[in-house]
Order: sequence, then C-alpha cells, then structure tokens
Amino acid sequence: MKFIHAADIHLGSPFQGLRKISNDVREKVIASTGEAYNKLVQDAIDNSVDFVCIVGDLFDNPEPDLETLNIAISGMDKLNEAGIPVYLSYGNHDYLNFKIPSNIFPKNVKIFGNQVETKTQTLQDGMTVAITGFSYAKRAEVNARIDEYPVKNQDVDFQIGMLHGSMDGINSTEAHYAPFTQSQLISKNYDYWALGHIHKRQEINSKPIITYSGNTQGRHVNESGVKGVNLVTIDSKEKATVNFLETDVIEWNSIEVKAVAGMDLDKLIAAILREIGDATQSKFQLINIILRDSNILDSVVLDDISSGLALMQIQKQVDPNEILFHRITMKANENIQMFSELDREFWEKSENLVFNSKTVQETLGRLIELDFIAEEYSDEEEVALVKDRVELMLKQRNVLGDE
Amino acid sequence: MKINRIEIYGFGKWNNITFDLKQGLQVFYGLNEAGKSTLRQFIYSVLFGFATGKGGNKYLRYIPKKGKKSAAYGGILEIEYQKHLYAVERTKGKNGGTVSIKNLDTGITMPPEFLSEILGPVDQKTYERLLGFNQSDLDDFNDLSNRDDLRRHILRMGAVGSDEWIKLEQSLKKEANEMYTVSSRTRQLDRKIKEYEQAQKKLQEDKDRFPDYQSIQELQKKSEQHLKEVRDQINILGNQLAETTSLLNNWDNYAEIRQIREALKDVPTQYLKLDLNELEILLNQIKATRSEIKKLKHELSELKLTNEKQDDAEKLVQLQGRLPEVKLNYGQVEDLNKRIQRLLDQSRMIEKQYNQDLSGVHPMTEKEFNEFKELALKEKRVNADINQIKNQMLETAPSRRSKASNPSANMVLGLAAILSIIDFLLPLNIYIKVVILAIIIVAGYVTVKAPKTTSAPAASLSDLLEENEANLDKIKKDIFSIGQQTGFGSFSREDWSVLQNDLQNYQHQLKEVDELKQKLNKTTTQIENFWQFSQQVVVMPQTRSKEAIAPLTNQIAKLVQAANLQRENVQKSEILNKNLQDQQVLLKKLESDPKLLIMSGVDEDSDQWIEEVRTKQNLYLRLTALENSLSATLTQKLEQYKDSAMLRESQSSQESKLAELKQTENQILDERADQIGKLSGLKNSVDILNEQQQLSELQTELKELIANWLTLQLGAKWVDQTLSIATKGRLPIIMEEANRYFNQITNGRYSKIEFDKDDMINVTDKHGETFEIAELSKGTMEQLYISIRFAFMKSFSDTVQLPIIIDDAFVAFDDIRIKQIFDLLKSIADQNQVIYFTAKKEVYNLTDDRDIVDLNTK
Repeated sequence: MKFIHAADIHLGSPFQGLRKISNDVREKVIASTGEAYNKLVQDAIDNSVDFVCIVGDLFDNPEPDLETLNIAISGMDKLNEAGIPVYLSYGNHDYLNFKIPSNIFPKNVKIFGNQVETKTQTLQDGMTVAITGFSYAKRAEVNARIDEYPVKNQDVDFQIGMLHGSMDGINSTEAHYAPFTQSQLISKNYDYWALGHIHKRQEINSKPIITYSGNTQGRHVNESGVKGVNLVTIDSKEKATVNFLETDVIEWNSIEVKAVAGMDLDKLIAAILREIGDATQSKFQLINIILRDSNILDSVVLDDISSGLALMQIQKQVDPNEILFHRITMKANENIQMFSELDREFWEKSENLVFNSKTVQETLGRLIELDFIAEEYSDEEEVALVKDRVELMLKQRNVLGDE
Repeated sequence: MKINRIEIYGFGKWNNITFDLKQGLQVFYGLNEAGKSTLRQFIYSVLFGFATGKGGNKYLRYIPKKGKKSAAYGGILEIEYQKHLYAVERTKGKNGGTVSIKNLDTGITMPPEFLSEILGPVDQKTYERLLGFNQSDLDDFNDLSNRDDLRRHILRMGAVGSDEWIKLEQSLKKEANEMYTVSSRTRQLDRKIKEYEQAQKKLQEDKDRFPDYQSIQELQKKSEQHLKEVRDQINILGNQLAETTSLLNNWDNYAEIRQIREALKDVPTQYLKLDLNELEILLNQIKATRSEIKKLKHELSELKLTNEKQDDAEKLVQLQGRLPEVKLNYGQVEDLNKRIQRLLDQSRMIEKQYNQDLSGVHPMTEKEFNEFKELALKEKRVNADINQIKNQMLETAPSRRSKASNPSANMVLGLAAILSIIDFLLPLNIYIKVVILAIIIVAGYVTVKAPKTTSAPAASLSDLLEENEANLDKIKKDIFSIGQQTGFGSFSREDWSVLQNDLQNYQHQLKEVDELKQKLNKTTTQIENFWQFSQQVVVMPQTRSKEAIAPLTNQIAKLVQAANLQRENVQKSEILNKNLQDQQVLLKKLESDPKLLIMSGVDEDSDQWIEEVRTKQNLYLRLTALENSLSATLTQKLEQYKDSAMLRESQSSQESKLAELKQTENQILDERADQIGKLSGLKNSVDILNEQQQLSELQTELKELIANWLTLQLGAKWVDQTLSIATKGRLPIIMEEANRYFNQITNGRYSKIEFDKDDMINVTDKHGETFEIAELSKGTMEQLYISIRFAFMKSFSDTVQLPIIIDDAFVAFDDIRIKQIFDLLKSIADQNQVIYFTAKKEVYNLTDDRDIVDLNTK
C-alpha cells in the first residue's frame, strides 16, 4: 500500500515577515502555496499512490477566495482523473463551514465530518485499509478527540489514523488543538499515524510510525528549511517506510555571520556573501541574516543596518531571482556595557523589572489590541529579543560616548 | 589619590612648567585663553591617555606646535596614593602615550597596570561625569522648567553620568512620542496603524464583494435551469404560432374554396368538363358561316346586270384600239400638209431667186461639180499669181514684187472649199450656212490676196505671167464647157456653186413633196377606214373630224367600260352563287354537330352562355388548385374556425406571449452575462491573494515600527529605572552629606532633605516647616541640586579616590551664593582634593591667595 501523507498546505496563505518586496517576488510568494500543492498532486500521480491523506489546514482560512478554491478543486480533479481517492480532514484554520461546501470537490474526495469517522478502501491487490479521522468545526478543539478513535478494526488489513492537533509536551500552549499523548495514539494499534498542525516535520514514534509531515511550503522565518510531504509505503508485513518528497518552491533559510571588531559595511557584506557560498539553489531562497555579536560593530554600521541600507546593498550582490535577503537579525553578545561599571547592579536590577512580558504589555498599552502584536509579545522569547534590540539601540546611541 | 604636582613638558601652550597643588581646594585662576582647559585636559590625559587623533577628540591632544623650544610632549603628575608618592609620567607613544610610573619613595618603576589600579573602574568619561562639575550641569538643571521634572531629575541623579542618561531618556521618550503616544491619533505609528486597519478592512470588503463559490454555482445552475425552461416554452409556443400563422396564411384560400364551392353548387358537372374551346370554335364557325352567307346574299343583290350582247363589246374594244391610230393619223395628216407646204415654199423661193423655171435644170454630178471646183480654184490661183507677178513687175525697181503664184493661195482655196462643203453638210439653218460660207469665202480671199514679199527675178516674171495667163484661159474654157454641159451656163459662173446647191435642194424638195403627198393619201385613207368601222359600232358624231376623236374616245371608253362591267358582274354573280351554296352546305353541317346538343335549352346569346360556363370552369379550376394547395390536415384544422378573426386573435395572443418569453430569455442571458462580467470584473479589479500578501507586508512594517517604538520606550524605561534604582540605592548614603551641604549652602535655612515613599522630595526648614520642592524657589532648588550633587561627588570620590574637578561653574551666581558654594567646597576639600578652575577674579575674595594659581602670569 502506498499513499501520501500531507498536511498544513495552507493554500492562499500570505508570507509573514516580509516587507516592501518587489512585485516579482510577491508573485512568486503568492503562487507558492498553490504550486507546492500542485507538486503534491503530481507526486501522487507519478507515484501511482493508492490514496492521499490531507490532515487538516488545506486552506489557510475558513473563507478561501475563489482563486484558492479553484486551485484546490483543480488539484482534486486531477487526482480524480487519475483515480486516486483523497481523504480530507479540515483543521483549525479551515474548519468546517458553509463557505467551503463539500460538493465543490469531485467524488474522489472523501471528507471527514466533525464526528470521528472511519472510511474504508479496498486496494487493487484486494487488501483493505481503514482511515479514521475528523474535521474541526471551529477554530480550536479543546477536547481530546483521540478518545473517540476506535481501536484497530480486525477486519481490515491496515488502519491509518489522521489527527490534526498537538501533542502535549511539544508545546503546552498548543493544548487548544485536540491534544493527545503518544501513548494514546499507540494504544489504538494503528499501522500509521498521519499527524498535522505542527509545521515542523518530525517523527514522534517509529513503531508504529507517528509523524508530523510538516507543512508543504514555509511561510515565515520560523518555518525554515525544506518542506514537503511523506510518501508512505506499507508492505504486507506491515513494515512502513517513509520517504520525504519536497514540495516547496520557496525556502526560508538563515545564515549566521559573526561580527568582527572594526568591520565596516563592505567587510560585513563580504562576510555575508562568503557564508552564502557559490552554490546556486534550485528554489528561491528567503534568507534571514543573523548577525552575532553585532554590538561589537560601531554605530555607523549599526545605523546602516537598522536603516535598511545594509540589506539593500547586500541584496544588490545576489541574483534577485534566486535569493532575497529579507532581514538582518542583530544579536548582541553578553558584553554590552551600557552603564558605567559602578552602576552595574542597578542596571541589572532594572533590566529584570523592565524586560518581562507584563511590563512589555503595559508599555504597549492599546497597541496590544492589535492581535498580531498581542501574539508577538506573548512569549518570553520575543521579550528577550526586544532586550537585545534595546541594548543595541543604546549602544548605537553611544550614550557614554565611548569609542 | 591626590595630585601634588603637575609637571608639563609640553602640552598645548604649556611648556616646561610645573604647578604645585595645595592639599584641599586648589584654585587655578585664568582668564579666557589662559590655558585652563589645557591644564585640565593635561590631567585627564596623563591619567587616562592622550586623546586619539580620531573624531572630535583630536583637538584635545594639545600637541605642542613645533618650533617652540621643541619641548617633548607630555609630562608628569606627582600623586599621592595610599600614602605613597608616585610620579606618573606620560609621554608620546602609541595607544594614548607611553606611561611610566615611579614610586618616588622607593624609586621602583611600577608596571603600567598599576595605573588601572589607581584609577579603579573609571575611565575618563566616567571620571568627568562623576567627579566633574561644570556650568553645563547647572544649565541643564536650570533648563528643567517643570518642578516635577526637577524633582525627578534629582531623583535620578544617582547614576554615573546621570545627566547624560537623563538626556538620553528624554530623547528616547521624545522620539517614541513622536511616533506614538497613548493619546496620539495622527502620528507616524497611528498613521501606520490606520493604514493597516484600512487595508484590513478593504481586504475584507473585497472578499465580501465576491459571492461565495457555492452561491455562484447555485446561481449559475439556477439561471441555466430557468433559461432551459424558458427556451423550451419558446419552442413549443413557436411551433404553435407557426401553425396558427400557417392556418392564417391559408385562410384566404380556404375561404375562397368555400366561396367557389357555393358558387358551383348548382352547376352541372358536364358543363365543367366541357371543352369550351371546341364549342366556341364551332359556334364561331357557325357565326362566321352565317354572316358569310348573309354577306354573299347581300353582294348578289347588289350586282346589277344588264342584257347587253357580248359581241358588241368586242367591237367596241376593237374600235377603242384603233383610236390612237386614228389620232396619230390625223396628226400625221397635219404634219404632212405642213411639210409639203414648207417644201413648196422653199422651192418657190428658190425659183424666185433665179426667176426661171428650174424644172429643167439639174444639178451637176458630183464628178462634174468637183471638176468645176477644181477649175475654179485653179483659176483663182492663177489669177492671184498673175496679180502677184504683175505687182512684182511694178515694183521691180527697188524691189521687185512678183506676183508669184502662191501655192499658199491654192492651199487657202482648197481649205475654203473644204470648209464650204463641211458647212453645207452641217445640219444648220440654211442662212447660217450661208453666213459661214461667206466667212470662208472672205477668209480665203483675204489670205490669197495677202501680199507676199518675194523677190523673184524680173525675167522670169513675165514668163511666168504668160504661163499663168495661158493657164487661165484654159481654165476658163473648161469651165465654160462644163456650163454648157450641165445647163449652168445660163447662169453666172459665180453662182454655180450656189446654184448647184440650190438645185440640189430644189430637186430634193420636189421629190420630197411627192413622197409626202403619197403618204398623205395613205393616211387619209386610214382615217376613212376608221370612221367606217366606227359607224358600225357607235353613234356617229356630227362631224368626222379630228376634234371629234377626243369625245369619241371618251364615249367609246365609257361604253367599253360598261361592257366590261357587265361581264364582270356576271362572273361575280356566278362565283357568289357558288360560294353561297358552299356556305349553306357548310352551315348545315355545322349546325348538326352533336356538340351543340349541350346547348339545347339555352336561350341566351351563346356567347354569353359560353362566357358564363367559362367563368364557372375557371372557378372550378381555381377550386381544384386551391384544394390541392391545402393539405387535408390543414383543411381539417381550418374547418374548425368559423372566421379568420378567431385565428387572428389566436395568433396575436401567441405572438405577444412569445415576445414576452423572448424578453425573459434575453433578460436571463443578460443576467448571466452580467454575472460573468461582474465576476471577471471583480477578478480583474480585485486580487485577494495579492492584497493579503501586501497586508502581511504592511503588518511586518507595522510590527517593525512598533518594535522600534517599543525599543525606545523600553530603553527609556530601562534608563529611568536604572537611574531611579541607582539614585534610590545611593541616596540614603549620601543623604546625610546632602543635608549638611544643603544646610550649609542655605546658611542654615533648611535643615533637612527627605524623600517620602512616593518619591516626593520634601525639605524642612529651620523652623521645622516642611515644603515640597515644588514650593521652593528656583534658586533654592538649585542649591538643593548642588547639595545633592556635591554629596554624590563626595560619595564617588570616596569610592574612586580621585580628585574632584570643578570647571568654571557658577558663573551666574551672585557673590553671596558663590561664597556659600565656595565654603562648601572648602569643607569637602578637607577630605577630598578639589581642583577649581575659574575665570572670575572674585575668587580672590573667596579664598586665600596662596590657594590660587594665577595662570595668566604663567
């Protein structure tokens, strides 16, 4: 039995964290999720799979626009023509609602309702497979739906579980999404668990294989690296092998460059280019430049970086059809000294008072009403980044005028 | 540490100069340009290093100008540190200069790191901030207009370089506020937020503009369905209408059929089948025959016949045939008579001419005449010659002219003769002939007589004359004999030619008369015959004359005519009768034709009858044609209608219904096109995914801006917190000192400074009254500030053990205030070295002269 396990396709999703990109790049960006999806469809056909499982978040939002719907439908049509069934469950982003009516898809698409249900298919060689799953009916699912999954049906040869949700322990703040534990999954005795929701591809368990296939196309700096789907083969002895098939057309990546004392802009650019190397990439790259020890740099260079000049200059050095440097992330090492040594204790005490999420949120005031701001500053990681920025900013201001 | 001595090798304007410093307060007095700053900078430079050549600091190097005794750069600070004396020497070198520290007690050179130990955790900037006090510090303080700011300023003085920090905090806040404040609505960040929110809204609006997929599909399906329904209806109705129209189109024919059937209702079939043409032909024939018979009869009756005999007619014709001849005869008779008469006249004339009877005289024969003519000619010639000779003989003296016989004379003669004959033969009037003859004769004569000039010998002339005369005689004789022979002799010889001619004429004339007379007789006889004959035939006229011929002719003609006519009529009547018979036979035959039986019983005019039947037959044909054109089904359908009005109504209502349906169809089509157009228009004008992406980018921008803003705010907060904590941390320690200083400075007016739990600063005066600093005067607040500041400095100085350096501060203070400050400084200086630079001469009033170094004089 051969099938494709895909999840979090997020058709129509914009890319976050980019600004003032050229129309060319924007076009590439907009088309990327659709192209990744089409690649997945083509892979299914090329590999003559028995079926395709899409585990949630096919669409990026519960009211996809016509263009996006058309892309989805034509992909399904292609699979229909090739005689490949699709087992589709909706996730927290594209939860069941009347804006995505079930009859838009051809007959090969089998949609899971909000109740946990099992669909069966008889394969060409006569073997039978049961696929269990459910669709989200709203933006979150606090219940542990895993409890509703039946134990493996003895009458079928294979059983596969589709679950869009988060495993407690990976990240506790995700417990709004049909939480489950590893042992709960294992207890069902299925041959394979196709998970969705977590965009980072990872294998949770090997026997049976419990895995997140990850999303099919990275959409912001935290979804870096190559993206794709799982091509799963399970032989008659119930041995499962997973092959990764790339589907993304744009890749998010970072490079690290260490600042060196006395570096001017040109040297910095040279260092960055060295890090990129000569290899041409087959996919369009969105690169985040992480500049370590940036506090070492003098304020002129820091100004160039924060004004965007540095980014512009370095972008000129590369082929805009291959690479876009979208950001320079400055990181300071521990050695920033702002205040006089005499004041160190006060300085450090106040640091703790200021750089916590409470104070940050207070400071933001009504800006927190912007939902993306609230999200941004809700975790401590981000607060730490803010502290870096403040330190660098103070350094740039060169308050004490030290050379 | 304390500085005991300053020894400068070369630094700025200072050159090989030494200053010894007092313990406690050391004043350096110097006007502008005296070198105060240079000196101060020297101290800093030795301790912390020469300024680098970079940036604004290069002017602090004070490198001595060349040529001024070329002193070395740098110098020595003799210091006391931990109860030991050291000489810290810094001279020109890398990295801020070469330092050497010598323990003056032991003479040991200390390692350069020793300097760091001495200085502690302090760099030049920190040192300047901590232990430096200058005018700008005061100025900045004074710039704070708000009491609360003042309060807070004081509350935050506790960190190193707090003034700079305070400045920074202010500028960070200012920058942040420029972007956005709690209450702002129109600043940069506000605008960006608004931009974002608007874009968000627009995106949603644009999304909403699109009908959702499902409803689009449904709508399409519905309209398709509707369209199909309408079209089906249109089809059905169209067919119905076609049928109705067809019925209507055929109505007239149908109506006509009915009409004709009605008309032919009583007509017997055989009438309709009748071949009218045949009948018509027959009838026409009969008619024609009848009329022909009538005509013949009429013609016959018109013929007038008489009983004249035939043979009379023949004779008449004969007679008539002879009339022209008799007319001619009469003419001839007349003519003959005339001619005879004329001839007789002519002959008589001739007779008269000669006055004799010419009957017995005959003209000469040709031979005789020719002979005569020849002779006459000869004669003439000879005569001429003779004359000529004679003439010549006469003229012989000068010139002899001889009358030669002129051959030319003969020639002329001959010519004349020929011309005469020709003339005679010409068919001209005799008189003209005579004239011509005369002319010829005259011409001949003249020519002959023309004198010729010939010179001939005289001798021969007479011979010639003789000869010629002899000739002449002969000739004359011959002529004479001729005359005898012919009878001409009785006439003069000159007339002979004429005579000859006349005679010929005369004879001729007489002969002719005879002939004519014969003819005349003949002709007359013929006329007689004619009259005799005519007598038998017609009535004779009165006279039988030429004049009678014409009327006779007429008469005869008439008679002949009548006879002819008669004959004709007879013939005609025979023919007519024959024809008549034939026609009657024919008529009988025609009238017995069985075809006519059909007309039995018909009284009217057969023509009319035929026409009627024909009409009926035509109707019948029409009927047949119409019936053929209408199919049975059609006829069946039509039979259901009484009249066309019903049909028309039907048609009209169907038409209007059809029009309605068509309109509906068009509406639906328009709607569909509209939908498609709208959708594609929407798709063209609105690109949701693009908008979404751009919104995301806008969000990123906004995030960036907010992060910047947040950075500024948090930075300010951090600074603020640090300052606050630092101050609060340090304040208690220095408060005691500050109190004392404040008391001292205010001359005991105020005794205490306190911070309450709300960070409010209160002062208590000597009376025990407490004031918030907001209630203090500006001057007092200044004093408060100075007290606290000095307390800080003292505290720092205790920590870092370095001298306090005050640089030309208090310029705006009045004398009393200065004194207060100075006293305070002096008391501080008891424990911590204070170096005071000033440009104010008044300083001499404040302290012992020995404590003052006058830089102006150095």
